[in-house]
Amino acid sequence: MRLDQTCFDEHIASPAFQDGVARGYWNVAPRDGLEWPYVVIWIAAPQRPNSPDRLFLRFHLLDYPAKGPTATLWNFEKNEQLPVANWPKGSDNVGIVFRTDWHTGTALYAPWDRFTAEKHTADWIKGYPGLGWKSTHTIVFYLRQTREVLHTDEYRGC
Amino acid sequence: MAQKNEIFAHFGGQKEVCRLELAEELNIRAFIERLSKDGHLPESKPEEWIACLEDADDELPLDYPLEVGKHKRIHISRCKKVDVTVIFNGAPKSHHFLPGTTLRKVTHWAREQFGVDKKEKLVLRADNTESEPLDPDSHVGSYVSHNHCKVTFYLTPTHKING
Repeated sequence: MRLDQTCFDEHIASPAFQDGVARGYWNVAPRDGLEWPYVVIWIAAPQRPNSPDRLFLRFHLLDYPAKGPTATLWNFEKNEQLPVANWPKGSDNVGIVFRTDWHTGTALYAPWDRFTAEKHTADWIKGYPGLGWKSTHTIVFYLRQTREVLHTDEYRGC
Repeated sequence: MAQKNEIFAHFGGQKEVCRLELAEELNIRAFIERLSKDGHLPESKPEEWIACLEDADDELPLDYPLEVGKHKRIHISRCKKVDVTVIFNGAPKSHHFLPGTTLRKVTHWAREQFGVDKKEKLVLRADNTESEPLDPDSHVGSYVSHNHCKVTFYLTPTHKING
């Protein structure tokens, strides 16, 4: 097994990840036909009318954790990117992190997302102290930051 | 087959959570003895420690039974109380919390103390106003050490991400 995959497996077995599982915050959603470096993880969403209680993120985890994760929203049943019409909507950080016009939804528009960070200059990341990816982080960091954005009254549903 | 009791144990001064599966029902005394035996705690007497459930208002007596599925998150610490100081815009406010109190609850307390509007999104940071936002589910007791049952946090607005 590759080193990045071994690290990821260790991190999802860690108490920090499993604590989130026990709290109902997130969990891995295994899927046939999905091969490394892709992994789907769901995050619980707050209750909103006509909106799902979980959002699926398909991660790309090549060279994890030296390089950070990048993720897009995923239709788990159809195994394809979630149509942008179904992405989370809301004000402030919800509207920005889940913006649908960012490279056609290739990644979340967040400082902790690798794709988005790489598309910006280092000064952009410096504007968000403590929110950029470090190789000492685990997938829990990405999930926690994303979950905290979603679990606010700024989120209006999907 | 008997259901295993999954417990997440938080320890004073340690950021890492420990996940345990107990095959049998233990009380707090036996649980602390087990943690010492397994090396999670230094060799010590149970009386040297206090145990409390996450965000509970009281510590647990040593004869308190840990029931399957009912007591998932326990904090074990030598600090009976943690003296928490929160600094917001340079002004400090202090209060004593049980070590198993989550930063989410401390943030809620601080918001009321400083009279911050409910719409303002806030996070606690440890070292300065620009360090990493702390996990709101972590416990105040995890940020102290045995000899210093004190901790200071910085209350700051959540960074607004610009598109």
